[in-house]
Amino acid sequence: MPVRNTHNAANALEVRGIGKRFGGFWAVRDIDLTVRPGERRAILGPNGAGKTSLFNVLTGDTGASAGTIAMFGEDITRVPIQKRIKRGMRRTYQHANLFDSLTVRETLFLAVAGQRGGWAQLLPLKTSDPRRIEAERLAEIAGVKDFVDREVSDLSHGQRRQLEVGIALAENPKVLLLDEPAAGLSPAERPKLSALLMSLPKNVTVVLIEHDMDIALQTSESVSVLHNGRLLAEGSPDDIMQNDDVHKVYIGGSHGH
Amino acid sequence: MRPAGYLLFLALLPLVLNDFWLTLVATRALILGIIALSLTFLATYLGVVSFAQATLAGVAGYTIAYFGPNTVGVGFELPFLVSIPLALILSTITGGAIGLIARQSRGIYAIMITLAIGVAFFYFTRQNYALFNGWTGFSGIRAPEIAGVSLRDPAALYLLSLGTAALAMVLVAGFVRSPMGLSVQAVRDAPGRLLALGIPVTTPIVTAFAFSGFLAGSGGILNIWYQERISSFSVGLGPIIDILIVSVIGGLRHPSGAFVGAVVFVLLDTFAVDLIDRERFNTLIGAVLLLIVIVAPNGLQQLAKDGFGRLRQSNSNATE
Amino acid sequence: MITGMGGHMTLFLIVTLNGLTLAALYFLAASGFSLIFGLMRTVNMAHGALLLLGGYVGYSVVDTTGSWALGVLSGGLAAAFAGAIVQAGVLGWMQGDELRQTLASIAISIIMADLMLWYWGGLTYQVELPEALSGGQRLPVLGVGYANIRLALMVFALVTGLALWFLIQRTRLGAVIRAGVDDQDMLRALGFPINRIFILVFALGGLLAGMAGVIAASALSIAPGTDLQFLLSSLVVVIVGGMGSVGGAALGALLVGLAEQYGLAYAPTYGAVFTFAIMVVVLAVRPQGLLGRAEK
Repeated sequence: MPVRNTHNAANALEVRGIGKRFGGFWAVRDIDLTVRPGERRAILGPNGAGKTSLFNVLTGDTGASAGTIAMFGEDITRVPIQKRIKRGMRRTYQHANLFDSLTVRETLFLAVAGQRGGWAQLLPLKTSDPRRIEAERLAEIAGVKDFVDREVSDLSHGQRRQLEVGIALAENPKVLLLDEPAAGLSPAERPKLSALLMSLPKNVTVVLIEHDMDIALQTSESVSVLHNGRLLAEGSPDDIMQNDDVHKVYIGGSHGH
Repeated sequence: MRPAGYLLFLALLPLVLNDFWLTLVATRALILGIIALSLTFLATYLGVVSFAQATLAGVAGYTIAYFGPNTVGVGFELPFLVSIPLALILSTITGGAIGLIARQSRGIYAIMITLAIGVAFFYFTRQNYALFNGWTGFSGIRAPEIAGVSLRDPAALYLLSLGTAALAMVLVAGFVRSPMGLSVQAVRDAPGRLLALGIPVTTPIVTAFAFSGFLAGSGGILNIWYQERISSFSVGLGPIIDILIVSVIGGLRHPSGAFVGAVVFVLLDTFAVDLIDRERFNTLIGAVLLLIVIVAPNGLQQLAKDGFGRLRQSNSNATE
Repeated sequence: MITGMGGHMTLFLIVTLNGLTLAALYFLAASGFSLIFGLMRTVNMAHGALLLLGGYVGYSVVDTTGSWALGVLSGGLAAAFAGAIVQAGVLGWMQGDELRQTLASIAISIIMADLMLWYWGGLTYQVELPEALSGGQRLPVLGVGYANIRLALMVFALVTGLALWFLIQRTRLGAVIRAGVDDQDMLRALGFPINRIFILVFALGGLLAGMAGVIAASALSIAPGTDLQFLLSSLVVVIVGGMGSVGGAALGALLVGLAEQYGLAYAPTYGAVFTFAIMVVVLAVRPQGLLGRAEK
């Protein structure tokens, strides 16, 4: 029976009864999540647990089949992706399609500047332009400051991931959704990304879906574990590591017990 | 300051070249190069090969013809200070309009659409007498005079074309580093991602086409002063292909290739007559195009660069 | 007053029939172009040149043998052969690099046009019609007279369209072509001799173009420039109708042919604008063409 939800403005994200159905198959069902402002939340789960379906519903890439989502108390369940961006939600992409021939600085500049500026967009950029300075600040946060003038096509996979995070941080988002930021990274690149995730500004709420348990547990304050499209467990990284159910389906499963 | 050095050298050419070399080779190559630059700019930075550049040059040329002194009695005369900006504005707007029409098309689709636009314009100029005077077009067009010197004077037209070409290159270099220029390149690299940043792709595409229309238009104005006439054949398949060949010879990966291609093309056009039957020039130019597409798809400039690169590499290998 | 009305009506009917004639020709030309594009994503800019070659060869054969049917056949075969050579000798080597193929086919069309100009000169040719096709017919119901060859042309286009539809929808080669429209790599992975299929389809496209050339030379006339005219019409027809679809080519040809003739009759100095306007409107509303599938 549908219940009229009243959303609490004190919560960055409030997910109630979210489900996503493809044909007759529920990829995720009855998901409840409450994420406080500034919280670091990981959504963990083995392949096929429904992480990506949940993530796409949160970002607005696909519509929800059931339930509601609220951001800071405002219902955004039916708000299209472009408007979610305007309200301060950002996402990264797993299969990063970046502007290969632009430099890191230029890419971040575009992320900062958007399409503002009118006719002035036709004029060469001044070094003192505040948007340019902001791009440099983002480069510093994302740890790509040392090669701001390198073309994106010359970056390593890990550096591209860092740039992705830098892009998502443009215009001070309130909620940052990270799509498997560590996927495809080499062991050497992982610590750098973890460090970046941990050093993100404290006022930004971060939700990341992650397949890699180490990164998820290391960078988050709280973890939600999905299994077969449902929420299996929720708690601090320590709680999750102790949780028997999680061991069974996730850790146990992946180690072939 | 190497570019300035080249420019100074080129500016001094009228002192040593006779009128044949200056006008029929150097000036012609510069004008063709400016029009082709409008294509290599689009190809390099937006990733779109447009076949409508002769149309854009033609719009500016026809504007000058219609609103300037001509001997066919069509149109009315405006001062050059009005008709020149008007010609540039119209070619810029036409460029933007073509960009708007082709905005959702990439690669071969964009080629087909711009070619269809170019050829439709050709047929339109042939049919329409009120604006374009049909297939005979306009003749007896005079370039303006400044302090008693006609801009059609060999040295004057050469220097004007050289200055325009240099300015065009500076404008292109500035445009691609401007915020809009960055968006244009972002559209080429990953349009979907640009949308995800909240930047609509239509504005950069239309702006790039409009800027390309401006470049083509400035070449078109010089061209009509050079030719002193314009007709539907000036916007037909011949010029469309010529501009394409110039750009392909020079390479579609760097805007300045247009001028390399233009020099090669004009030299071929001027001296092929000594090698083969004048009537068979098209077979020759077609064969040259085919050869370049097969052997050096990135153009002569890239071929030379690769060649030098390999040379340098083998040299450094030898010294090690 | 009544005769005046009748005059308008007759004019309208004749213009409509002319539009249908042109549409039939455009369809014949564009179907081969669309077929090649549909299977291999190749924009064959030499398509107009193949058509003109067919027309010239057809003229020469009819001129020597006196057999119109033989002329149509040899015109078609000559263009089919030339098309196969173009694909096997040049374009096939650049498969996958669409821009390069486009540029190469432009070079080929320039060379072909120039060599044809050399051999056949700048004259306008009209193929002499056999007894059965010359003269005209007073059409029942409509009550206007119309040339036999033009009526035959419409029938021919209809038959060709149905045959193509049958080929694509009902035969094994057609199944491969339809699969190719969706996924070339898949076909290659499944071990189909895709290079030979490409050459075959190019020859088929050439055959259609060549026959269209002879028929154009019979119903109208051909001259240097005819190649460009039919290349443009083919481009617009597939842009409007949708790439790689027989039905799309037919619909596009109908729209463009009729628009051109109405334009010519009722707004002679703006005729080209109608064709152009149709294209722009379609691109604005349905960028993939009226019957085309969306680009991926």
